[in-house]
Amino acid sequence: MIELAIGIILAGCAIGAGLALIAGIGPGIGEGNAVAKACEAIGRQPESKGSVTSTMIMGCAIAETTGLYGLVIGILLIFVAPNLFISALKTALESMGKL
Amino acid sequence: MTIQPAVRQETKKIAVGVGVLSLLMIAVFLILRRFDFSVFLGALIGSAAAVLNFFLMALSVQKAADSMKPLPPAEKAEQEEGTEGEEAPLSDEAKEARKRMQLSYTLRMLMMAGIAIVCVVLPFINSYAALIPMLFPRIVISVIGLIQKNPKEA
Repeated sequence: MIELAIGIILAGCAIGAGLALIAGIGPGIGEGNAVAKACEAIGRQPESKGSVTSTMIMGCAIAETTGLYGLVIGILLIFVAPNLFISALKTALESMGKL
Repeated sequence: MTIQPAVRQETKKIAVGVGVLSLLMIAVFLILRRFDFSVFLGALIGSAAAVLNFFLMALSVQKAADSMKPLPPAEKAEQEEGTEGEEAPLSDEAKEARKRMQLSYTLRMLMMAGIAIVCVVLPFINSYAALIPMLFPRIVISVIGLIQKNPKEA
């Protein structure tokens, strides 16, 4: 019984991590599009290169953090969460006298 | 390749902000009486990774901006006239910049994933203290945005 519960916990963590890492796809596409458009703007107005670059760096950094959130959550779900959930399950079963 | 002043300035701002927030995080660990050397090591590695990631991203953006040549006046006028209401197709240089940026993003994410996994797996590094600073650049940028907006409004 407990093996089944641990299996469900591990599967849930793995599925959750996979779903969290989907968040990493969007920022990559968006960053590329933003940079392409900014490059065109620089091509049209080369005198505004400094300000466009500055704004683009900040915009890309904000977009990238979304992907990093997903990455951090995914890593926590794979490496940290299973141990926490399993120990919580064992404590609960021990308190109920079923282990 | 020379580093543009904009890149240097923005990286400096982010590094200072991440440093201050890391000190705040260490203070929280101290208050909770959970501070030890692993927390310090984690904060150091996490902050360094966040700043390095930002710097590499800024370098990629600079490279993309440098690769763009000014449009000739005839082409510029043509683009301005012919694109009212509709989106003009991207030039080859812009497409190249987009690909380069996407490749750079993938490589940087792999680097961050590698650092994060090492920090979580090694027992002498506090994983929370290493992972939290990776999210600090966004907070720093938000705070910078708030600070820079206020003088204009006033």
